[in-house]
Amino acid sequence: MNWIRRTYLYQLYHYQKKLFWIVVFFAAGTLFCTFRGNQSTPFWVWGMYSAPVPSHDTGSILLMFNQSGSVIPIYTNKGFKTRFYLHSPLIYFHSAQEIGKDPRKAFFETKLPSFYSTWIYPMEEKLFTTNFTPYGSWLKNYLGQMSQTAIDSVYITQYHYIFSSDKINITSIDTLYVF
Amino acid sequence: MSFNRQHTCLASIFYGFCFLIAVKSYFDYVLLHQLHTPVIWDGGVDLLTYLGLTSGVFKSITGNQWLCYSFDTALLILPLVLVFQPQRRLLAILNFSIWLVYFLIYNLYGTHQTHALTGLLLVHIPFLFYQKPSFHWLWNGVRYYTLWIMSSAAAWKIIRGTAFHPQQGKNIYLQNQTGAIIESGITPLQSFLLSNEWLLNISFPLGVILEGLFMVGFFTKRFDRLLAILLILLIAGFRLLADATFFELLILVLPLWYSERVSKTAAPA
Repeated sequence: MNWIRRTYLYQLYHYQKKLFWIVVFFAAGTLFCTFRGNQSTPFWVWGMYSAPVPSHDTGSILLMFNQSGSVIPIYTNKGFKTRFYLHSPLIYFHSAQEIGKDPRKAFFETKLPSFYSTWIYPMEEKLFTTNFTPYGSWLKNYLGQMSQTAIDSVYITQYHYIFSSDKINITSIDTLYVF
Repeated sequence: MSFNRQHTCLASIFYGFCFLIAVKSYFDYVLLHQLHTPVIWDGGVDLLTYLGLTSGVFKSITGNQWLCYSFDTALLILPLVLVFQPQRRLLAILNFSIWLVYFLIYNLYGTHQTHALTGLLLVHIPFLFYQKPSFHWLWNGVRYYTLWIMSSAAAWKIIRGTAFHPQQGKNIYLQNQTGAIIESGITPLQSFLLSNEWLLNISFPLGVILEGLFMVGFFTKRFDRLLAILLILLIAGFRLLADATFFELLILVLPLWYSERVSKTAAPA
């Protein structure tokens, strides 16, 4: 049993009991969240791309254009974090428009119906986005600071594509939103 | 090297890295004053985020431009001060708290729970303690957590079967690159990888194997520096093939690279 004495937790327990219990709490929380598959800071789950990614041989993608018809780069923007802040809220906005409410609110309503009506409903104004209308103005402000000029209008366009023979072919284009 | 000198060196590297991330965030337009009071948010299932939302703390900060400027100034200045004065514990605690709030707000208004900044938060923790044994135990704790990140990532993919999914690599690549290709045309690298799908499809299980190698670290520290190099390669691979930029996670190279040295100088006798 000599190997047990050489372990991190054994030694920590004998040197600093308080720290030992903090580490055990953190480890237990991390294991619990990992097995549940839901993360909550600081118990993060590291399962990115562990779910099967469906084929993207056909699909659609959202692009942004300004008033003069020039593309506003989302996917090729040099700053990764800028890309994140342009792309992710746009997708969230689009999902909300498709289902008619905040997707997170819909998630909680479906997954925890009784808990939602008792505990979450009274606070839903604080927890979820109830008004998506200001998104367009926000987007123009956000883009404006990057281009250093006022953005009058932004067009969100959906490109449908087919991937075949190492090429992406556009099949149709729809303008979904004009801000 | 004495413990004090080693602690100061490591702290300076770490806080210097924090400063660089803050500067990069400024140029990426994601400091709080640059977010222009965001109007859409998603807290995922993060309890700490919902605590910030229900208490009104996050909205109070992002809704007040002067508070945003003060917050961002602290985000930039505190790490810089700590590069030269790493033993200022109160400042270190304040810096940690500010980065934690920034992490939560960044994910909340980005409407996606990203992990990149977790590395910064984790490596902060040992530097909140200046005593030898506490620093040693926490430094080792972060080292173990780094091993957990990579090995649990491998375990997830093996248990859910995607490690063996023949098209997973290509699907991930196409999911992430289609937008870029349509937006500004195909690059030679994209063209090469898409016409050699097998390279993409083999890279995914290969990545899982490399992530799984981090399990070795739970049993020995002998290969820590190799694992540190592997971590850099994997982060570069995520960037290239999955368009996931975990640049901030590079700070986790530190606990692996300096695991033996910290044990020599700071472990209890």
